[in-house]
Amino acid sequence: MNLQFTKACLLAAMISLSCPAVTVMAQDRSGITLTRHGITIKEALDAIEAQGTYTFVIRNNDIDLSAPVDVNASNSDIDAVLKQILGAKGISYEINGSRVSIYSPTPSKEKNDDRFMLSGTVRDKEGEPVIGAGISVNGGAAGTVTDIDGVFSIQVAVGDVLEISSLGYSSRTVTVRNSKPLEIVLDDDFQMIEETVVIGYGTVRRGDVTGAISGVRGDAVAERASQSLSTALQGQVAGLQVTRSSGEPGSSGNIVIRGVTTMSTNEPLIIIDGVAGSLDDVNPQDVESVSVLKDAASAAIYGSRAAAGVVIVTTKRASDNAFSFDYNYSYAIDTPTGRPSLGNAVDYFNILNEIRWNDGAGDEHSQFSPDYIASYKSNNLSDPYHYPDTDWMDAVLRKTASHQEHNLSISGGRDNLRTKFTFNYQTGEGYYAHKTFDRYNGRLNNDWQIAPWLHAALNLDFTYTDKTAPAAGNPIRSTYIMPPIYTPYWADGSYADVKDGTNILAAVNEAGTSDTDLWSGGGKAQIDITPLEGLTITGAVAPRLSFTKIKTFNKAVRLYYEDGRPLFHQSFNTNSLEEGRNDTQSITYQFFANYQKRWDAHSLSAMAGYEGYSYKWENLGASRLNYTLNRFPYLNIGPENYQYNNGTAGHNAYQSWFGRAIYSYKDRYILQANIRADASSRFARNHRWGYFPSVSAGWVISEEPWFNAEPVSYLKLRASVGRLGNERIGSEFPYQASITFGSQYLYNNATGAVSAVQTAYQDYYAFDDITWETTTTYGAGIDATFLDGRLRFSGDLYKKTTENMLLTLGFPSYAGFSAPKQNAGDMYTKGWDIELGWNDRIGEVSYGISANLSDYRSRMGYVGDTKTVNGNYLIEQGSYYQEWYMLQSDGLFQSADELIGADGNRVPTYSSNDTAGDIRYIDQNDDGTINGDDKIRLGNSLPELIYGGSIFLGYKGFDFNLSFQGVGHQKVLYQSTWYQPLQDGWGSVPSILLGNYWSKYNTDAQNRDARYPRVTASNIVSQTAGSDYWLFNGAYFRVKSIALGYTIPQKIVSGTFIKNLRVYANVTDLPAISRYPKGWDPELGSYDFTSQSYNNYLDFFSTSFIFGVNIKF
Amino acid sequence: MKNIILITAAALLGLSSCVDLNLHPLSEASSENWYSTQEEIEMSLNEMYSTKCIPVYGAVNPSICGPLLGLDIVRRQETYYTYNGALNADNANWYNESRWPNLYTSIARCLRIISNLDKARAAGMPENLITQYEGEAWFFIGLAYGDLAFHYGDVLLDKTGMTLEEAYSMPRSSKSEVLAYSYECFDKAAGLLPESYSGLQKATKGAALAYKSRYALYNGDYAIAAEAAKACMDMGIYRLHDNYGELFTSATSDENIWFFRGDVSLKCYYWLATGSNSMIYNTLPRVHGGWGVYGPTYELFCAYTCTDGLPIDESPLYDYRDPFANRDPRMSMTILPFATAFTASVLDGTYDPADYAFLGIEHSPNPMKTQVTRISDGGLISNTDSKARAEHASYNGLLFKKFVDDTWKENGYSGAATNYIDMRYGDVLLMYAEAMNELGTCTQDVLDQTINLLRERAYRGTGLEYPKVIAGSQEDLRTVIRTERFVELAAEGHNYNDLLRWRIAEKVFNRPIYYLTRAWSGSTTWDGDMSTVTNEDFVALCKRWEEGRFPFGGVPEIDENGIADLSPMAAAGDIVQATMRSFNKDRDYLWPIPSGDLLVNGNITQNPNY
Repeated sequence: MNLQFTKACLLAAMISLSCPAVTVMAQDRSGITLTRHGITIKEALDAIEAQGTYTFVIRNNDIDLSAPVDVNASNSDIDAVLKQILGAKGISYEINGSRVSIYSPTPSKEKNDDRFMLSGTVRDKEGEPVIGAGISVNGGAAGTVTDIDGVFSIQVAVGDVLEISSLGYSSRTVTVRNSKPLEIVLDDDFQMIEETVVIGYGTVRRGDVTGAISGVRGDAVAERASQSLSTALQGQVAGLQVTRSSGEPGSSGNIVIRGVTTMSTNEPLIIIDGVAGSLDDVNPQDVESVSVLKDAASAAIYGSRAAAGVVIVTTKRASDNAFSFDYNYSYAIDTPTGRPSLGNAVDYFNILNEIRWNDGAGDEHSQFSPDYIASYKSNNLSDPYHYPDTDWMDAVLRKTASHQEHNLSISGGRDNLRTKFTFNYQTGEGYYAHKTFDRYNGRLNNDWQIAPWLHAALNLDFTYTDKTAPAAGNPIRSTYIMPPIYTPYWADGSYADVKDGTNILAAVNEAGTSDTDLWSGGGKAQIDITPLEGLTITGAVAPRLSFTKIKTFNKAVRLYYEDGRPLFHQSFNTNSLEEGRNDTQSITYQFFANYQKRWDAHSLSAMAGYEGYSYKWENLGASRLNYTLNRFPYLNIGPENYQYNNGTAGHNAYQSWFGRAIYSYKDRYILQANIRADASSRFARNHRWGYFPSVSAGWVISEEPWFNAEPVSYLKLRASVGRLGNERIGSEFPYQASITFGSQYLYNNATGAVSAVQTAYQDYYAFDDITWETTTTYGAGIDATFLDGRLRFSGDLYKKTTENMLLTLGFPSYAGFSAPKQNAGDMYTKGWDIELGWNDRIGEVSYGISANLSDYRSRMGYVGDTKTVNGNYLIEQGSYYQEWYMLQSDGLFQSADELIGADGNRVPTYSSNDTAGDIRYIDQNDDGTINGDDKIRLGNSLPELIYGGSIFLGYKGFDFNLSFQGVGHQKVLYQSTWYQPLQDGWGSVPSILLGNYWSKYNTDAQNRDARYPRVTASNIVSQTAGSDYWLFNGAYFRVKSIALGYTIPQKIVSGTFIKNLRVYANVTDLPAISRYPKGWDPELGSYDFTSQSYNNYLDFFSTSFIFGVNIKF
Repeated sequence: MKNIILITAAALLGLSSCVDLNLHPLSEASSENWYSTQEEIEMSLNEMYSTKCIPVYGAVNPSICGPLLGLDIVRRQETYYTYNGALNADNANWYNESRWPNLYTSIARCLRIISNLDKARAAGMPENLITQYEGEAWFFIGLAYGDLAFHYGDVLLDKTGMTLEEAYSMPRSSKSEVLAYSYECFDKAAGLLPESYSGLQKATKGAALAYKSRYALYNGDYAIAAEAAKACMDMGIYRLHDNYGELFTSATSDENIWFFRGDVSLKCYYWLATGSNSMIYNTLPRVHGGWGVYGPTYELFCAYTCTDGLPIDESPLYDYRDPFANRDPRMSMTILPFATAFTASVLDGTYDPADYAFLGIEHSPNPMKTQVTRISDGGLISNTDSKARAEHASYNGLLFKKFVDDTWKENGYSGAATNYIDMRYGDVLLMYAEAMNELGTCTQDVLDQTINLLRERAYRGTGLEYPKVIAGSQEDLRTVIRTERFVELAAEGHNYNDLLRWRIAEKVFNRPIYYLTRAWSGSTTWDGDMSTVTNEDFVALCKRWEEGRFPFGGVPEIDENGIADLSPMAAAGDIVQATMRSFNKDRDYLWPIPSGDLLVNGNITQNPNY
């Protein structure tokens, strides 16, 4: 069968499926010239098709295409020609533009008596539906094609032979035995594979990949049902670590590829459709594919900014002549993955008494008498306003929240124009009042084939995000530390004063809101010129703008004492307005040429280009205080004598030249070389340029003629070495000793008032020779498939050396300047990634399992002979990056006797207040005191053995997917906020403390088992000094997503306007299994090196129960 | 096709010039060409006039300076690093508001200004301005080294602007060498600075002399302290404010030598109000919307002498049942006074709420007084400064009056413009007297020029003769002078330093903090009916009020430093031990060098026992 003909049928069939109402459009019909006698109908149609204007679709199988006809046409109208060919045989046709459908006008029932409609599904070995596979009967023309879910149905009779074929797969034949639906699996055809992988400024054939590149399919991203793309990638790729810092609606995560290699930002470069951007700009549903360039050989083409790896996101574009309209809706109910609990009022009284007693109070009930405590519970029942026992977390926080999402996609095209538009709307709410999130995201991708040598593409995208939060901010910490002994309301419903006017419930509800509107939009205009075969010259301009508007209107909140006297909330006692306007603008210019040539067994692909980028930002703020009215959040309404404003700006730029060559011989030996030269405005003129070369090689052993090692079906070895750079060090002009401006206030004798005066100072020390940090990566990897491709394996080993690392070395605090970054360190990172997959089917059940595992260790090399202690972390030569550096503990002092040493003197203690129930620290240097000199290195603080995976099951219309993710080992510091009672001197009592701390009231045995030291306020500093007493294994396992879907059978939806209908239910982010204390999520408890703080009190992560429907029209 | 290639090649060249990499900061300046004009040097010096470079102690920023509170202020039962044994090098920059790096930053910036003055001179800046600017710079350097030497002992001495290489290896210089340089800088400053300014108030000759005297006194260089203080006195431009109490709420005064003034519309406050550390909320009485958390200590309460000039354990005028009667008038201007059950006007029935009004509302901690009078209209309001109505009413029954005025209640309690006076003439007089006494040269003449002026001012307008201090033995005068400093400078942020330099911190900071029993009526709407009260502790508290044992009965012994020992009152059950203080005499007199600096510079040693 003529392949082109099949393709034509396929395409036409898809159109007829997807767009039955397309009207016949008059087009410029070229004349047909064809004069032949005695040829078959098929030959005649093939000949017309060869002339390039028309393609034919055979709609019925019973048309005898072998019937001989005579044709005599010279620049004739198509209609006239077809009349000669088909009209004579009584065959009908319909001309739709350049497409001609051919059918027998009266499909005779009698003839088809023994025929029936047979349906089936075509999938690939990974269980993915094969779209557009052609199904032909008994060697005839294709009768139908599979739809987007791989489903087809066709008229057949028992004994018919179906041939199923699709580009890139081996064809299969199936003999019809009965009417049972068919499940057909097509094997990959390695000979035919021309699958391409996006690698930056171009694509490469999958087989030619020599670097460590992992891919994620768009539907694997969409299945996660995440609200952001970054979190949808969690656990999907070996070596790609996603950490989330907040569970607030619409929040995103931080990505690290192959571990930490630098002390400045470890965020990878994000490339969206060829231009640097942010994952937050992409709706997860729009993703066609994600490529993760993990090693230097792959990433080197991005040079200066690729040291932390590159994530390339390609958004969906319209495919040829396929029209579709999809709508997806989902609704989710969210519950926190964890929520800490607090002790009640009686617990609070007892702990407070014990703290004061421990701290030197005269008697053990110095705060609350035993009678008061004993009768409190019953008093609470009869008089809850004088004897409150409030669970503040319950009072302020909702048990559940929800979010929902609408997604619309319209896509279609003709030969020369293809377009796809998607629109996504998300809305969600948080766990407390006034916390909402709305996001509108649209994307329009257009392609024009203007001439055979000229292609143009235009992408536009916009995002509008509207976030609202209470002006009081996230109340989680406040609710967590608020003791239960205050009532939020009085009997008359008015807000109570609580503790000195800190009623967090009133503040969240009444103190106004902070609204953040973020507009972000961008686009890319690209022209591809193909002057010679194989050569494509591309020019692109990609501007991007963002504008943020923040309006915070704080409203005075009235609280009341019980006797009705009003007071203001201590933080919200006046009305005030703050406005912020931040804008950014960037533009990327790209110009590059790709050349591809194949001859004999050789294949060459080369690319060279230029990229320029500039970025500018400007912030503006204004505020007025002491508004009389609280209804008008506009600056003009505020008093003029309380008006303030501020503004700052900055900019940076870079430009780069780059080139790449890939050569492969017999698809067996592949060699790739890249070079990139970058110049950045962040460095002084003489230290501006950096050069980043890389080479890599691949050997497809399984292509060797001598290779015959069943069950190995494919085996490739890869090796690479390359150098990458990093210029992202926070400061825009680190080489300049910049003067910062500020204000001071001096009394003015002339006016008798205070005047604000301008000040200037040099804050940071500057090294003018500061330049790139470079990371050299050595990597080797294996890709293999076994057992006819059912088992896939990919493994990589790598070693990264970062030199001239930009870091803040231990800097004398008495030097008079803040510590600058300098090119002063080396870091060595070693690691490995493994990806494993298995796909098969048992009967009608198709299934697949994939898993990834990665690990790395980062150790410091030379760091200028200095030792930098950053809180409980250390950086020095030979240490892990941010290694734990703390005191070593030896349990708790169990009795006062233990504080006296063998020599009769007091043993060394951290604080002179230390006594029984405090932590015993080891005096490492035996100098009789416990201080910073006794700190020792206590191991890696970063996560080890990061893993993820998924399980897929398919049965008939059902699909099931489970994915998981976690960390195998991590030394985590137990946070004092998790257990410490009376934070801030008056806070609540965490439940996990109760019954689990050293106490004078305990038996010796109970004290020996106590997890926490004695309760105290004045000796907290000793108990919370960093030590291994508080280190624990923070490993966790989390089921990220369980998805169950059901595709309504065709026979039910057929006949309606709906083409395909799938309903699904997902559960995402189940509570993690870990040793974290009850109520604390491992990801929320993690240390954020960017903000140098723990994330304890950020919004909870949510387990979401999602219900959705996906409709294709 | 050739054309296409040509066009694209041209476009390529065009594109490569679209990005300019020679950028400069937009909202900052570069140091390369700074310090060359009058404006630039003035702006650089302006930055120095902050509480980072003129470090203040007291309660200006209680979240950080709280630890530096002395024996004059108490915040309920809370203790701080400086007196709970928890000082350590890892937290060194936290508890003292980064004093160490801030002062070195001050030094580095001033040295840089001085070394660039020639650049400004060449650019044509007038010589009189150069003189003033140089004087300002020396003033800040002298102040920084004086403070560093006092708190850290031996410190790094940089006279020229250290290079980074020097910084990594510089050792500590001896305290005496550092102090000598500090005095030298103050002398230069005093020689260059004007006596006063007609416009913006900046460092003056008087300030240079007064601070020189302070650091010399702090460090035991009494002759230098006396000489500098005398030079300041001899300038003749400072004089005591007429009224002691009004000095602290006045916008300006001839007594002020260096003060920070706030401004509400500039959002510049030295009496801050930020959240739970709000100085405003924490100090204001509860009936005025505050929390009454910061209060005078019992030690301060006992330190005021009686009007006969004798301490309360010696004076026959002292009656614990009416503790405000017959006391130094400064007591009632510092501690909010109240009538007890034995106050004369209560006993004879002439009690007038207006006599005990503060900011328009009667003040009484009487645990049975459920309501107090609003003076303006005679209306009654709930007495939340008493245990009758508020569980958290002042824990020891005392509240501050000094510094507080109606402006504290304006502006949504978010800050008051009230001056923070760091150096005043009254302090200079006391420093002179103390230095002369330590030198053994404190004559009656010296006393009449100093303490007796302060006492005369204190009693002015009361109709009482002030108890004149008469020259006596060095020991006796030392007690008088230390007592005078404690009460005259109460809550001004100098007491902690005085306790350190007098080497008595080890005594007073190893005593407990006392307060009243925590008992209260149990209801914010209690009607005063004792029969409804079940809490025995509260009943006992009320009984003690009726017996005149409030806040405590009996007379504590006052020691040679003017400080009361309250343990007998606790033993008697009138007051209870709230928490222990702790001070390590072998360690805590000096602060630790921040541990990070010991890591980068192996030539620096740590202070003992850290």
